[in-house]
Amino acid sequence: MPMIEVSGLTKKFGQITAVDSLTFSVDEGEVFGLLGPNGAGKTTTVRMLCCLISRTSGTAKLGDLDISHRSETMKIRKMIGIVHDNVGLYETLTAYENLEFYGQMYEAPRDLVKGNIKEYLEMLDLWDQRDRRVVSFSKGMKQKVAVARALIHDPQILFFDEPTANLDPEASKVIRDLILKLKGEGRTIFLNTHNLDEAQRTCDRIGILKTKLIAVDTTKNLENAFARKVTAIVLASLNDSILNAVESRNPKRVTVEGNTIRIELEDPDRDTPSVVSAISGAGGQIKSVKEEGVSLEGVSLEDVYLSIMRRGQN
Amino acid sequence: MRLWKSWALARKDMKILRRRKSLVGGLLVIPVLLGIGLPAILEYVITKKGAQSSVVVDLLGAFAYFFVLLSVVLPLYISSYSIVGEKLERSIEPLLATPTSDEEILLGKYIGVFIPVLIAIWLGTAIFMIMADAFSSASLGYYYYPNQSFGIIVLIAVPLACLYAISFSVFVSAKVNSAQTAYQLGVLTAVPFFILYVLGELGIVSLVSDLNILIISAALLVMAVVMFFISRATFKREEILTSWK
Repeated sequence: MPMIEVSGLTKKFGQITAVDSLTFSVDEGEVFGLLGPNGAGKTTTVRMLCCLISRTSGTAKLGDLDISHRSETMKIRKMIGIVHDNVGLYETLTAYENLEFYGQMYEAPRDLVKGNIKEYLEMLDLWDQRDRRVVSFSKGMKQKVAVARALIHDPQILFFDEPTANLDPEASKVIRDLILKLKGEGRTIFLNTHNLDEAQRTCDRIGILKTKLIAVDTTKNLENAFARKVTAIVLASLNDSILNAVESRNPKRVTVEGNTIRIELEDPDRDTPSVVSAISGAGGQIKSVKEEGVSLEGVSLEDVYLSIMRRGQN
Repeated sequence: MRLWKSWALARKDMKILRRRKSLVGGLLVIPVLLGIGLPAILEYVITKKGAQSSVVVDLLGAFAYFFVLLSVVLPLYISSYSIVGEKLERSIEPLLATPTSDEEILLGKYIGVFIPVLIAIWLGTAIFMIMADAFSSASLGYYYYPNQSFGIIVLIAVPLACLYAISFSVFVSAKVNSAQTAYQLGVLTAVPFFILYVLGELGIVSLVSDLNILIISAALLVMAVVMFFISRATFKREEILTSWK
C-alpha cells in the first residue's frame, strides 16, 4: 500500500523550474532514496511533501491526506517527522529541553514524549548528555538530537534530508543503523542523499533526480539496466584502417579477438550505427553485429548514477 | 487557535532569553537607569534649584510619560530577534514543520517578548516610584505615588504600548533577514510617541491628562490588533524559508 503517492509534482520559483513533474510512489515500510546532485530539487521535493512550501502543479498524497488540501496540512505535519539538512536546534537549550519542546509542538502526549526522549537518546548514546546545552555538542551529536526530534511523536513517515552530510563515518553509521531499525519497525522512510554508499546500504528503491526524475527502481535493477554493454562486430577481415575508423568514434574501450571487435560505447543504441558506418566506410565487411552484456561485477550504483547524470546532461 | 501552543513557544523563548545574559542585561539596564535617574534629576531640582511643589508635580507627570516611551522602544530589543533569531539559528524550518498555525506562532512570539519586557519596565517603575516618593515627599508633604494617573500609565498604557511595539516589530522581523535591520525598522514605532512628547512639551497635548492617556491607550490597542492581523496575513512560510540564505 503506497504511503506516499506523487503525481506530476512541479515547483517553479519564478521562471526557474526547481522540480519538474515528479511521479512516483513509496510503499508503507519502504526506504525510498532520492539521489541527485546539489540543486537537483531534493530539498524542494521534501518541503513540498511536508507542506512547508506550496506546489506549482501536480498532487501528492501522504497516506490518505492530500498536500493540496489546506485543511489537511496540520494532519500531514502531525504524521511526519523531518530531519532537516540544517539541524536547527536551539543552541542555548539542552538536548532534553529541545526534544521536550518539540514534543509539545507536535502535540504528543507527555508520557510518550518522555519515553521517546529516553529511548532515542539512549539509542543514540546521548542520554548522559541530555542536560548539556546543545551549543557544546559536536556536529554529529547535534545531528543525532535532530534525528531524535524527528521521532519524538512517533511519526508514520520520516523524511531525512541529507542526514549524514558532513558527519564522520562512525556517526554516519549510527544514523544509517537507526534508519534500518526504523524500517524494521515498518515506518516509511524518504531519504534525500547524494551519498551513494548510504543509498545502496539503506534504500529499497532509489529515484535519481535532476529537476526531473530520471530513473526509479531498486538498486539491483538500476545496476542491471545500466550494466556495461559491449557491441561485438564480426568482420570478414581486420586491418589498421578499420581499427582507426572505430577509434575515430571515441569508444570507451576496444578489444580485438580474431576478426571480432568488441567495442564499449557510451550509449550503444545511439552510437552503434555510427561505428558500423565508419567500419563500412573504411572498407570493412561486416558479418554480424550484436550486443553482449558484461558481467555486473564492478558495476556500482556510482557507475549507474554517473551514467544517468551524463545522459541527463546530454 | 490553541493558546497552550503559543504559551509553549513563549516559554521556550523566555527560557532562551534568560540564558542570554547580554539580552537580560540589556533588557534591565534602561528601566533600572530610568527608575534611578529620573528621581535623581528630581532630587537635584528640589535640593539645588529649590523647585516649588507645582514644578515638582509637573516634573513627576512628565517623567511618567518616559515609561510609555520606554515601553515602545524596549520590546524592539528582543522582538527584533523573534523571527530573525529563529532564522539565524536555522530553527525556523523545524518550527514551521510542526502542526502549529501562523496565529499560534505569532501569538507565542508576542507573549515571549511581552512578559519579560513588562517585568523589566514594571521593575523600573517600582524603583522610580519608591525613589521619587523618597525625594519628593518632604517637598510635597505627601507621597505622590502611587496615584491614579500613574496607575493608568503603568497598568494600561505601558502594556498596550508594549503590545503595539511588539506587533510591529514581529511583523518586521518576519520580513527581514537581520536582527539589526529589524531593530532599525522597528524604531519607527517610537516616532509617533516622540511627536506626542514634543506636542506635550509645547502644551498642545496634555500628557498628564488621564483621559488623553486612555485615548492613546485605546489607539494603541486598536493598532496592536490591526498589526496582529496584518502580520498574520503577511506571514508567508514559503517566503521565510526560501528567501533566507
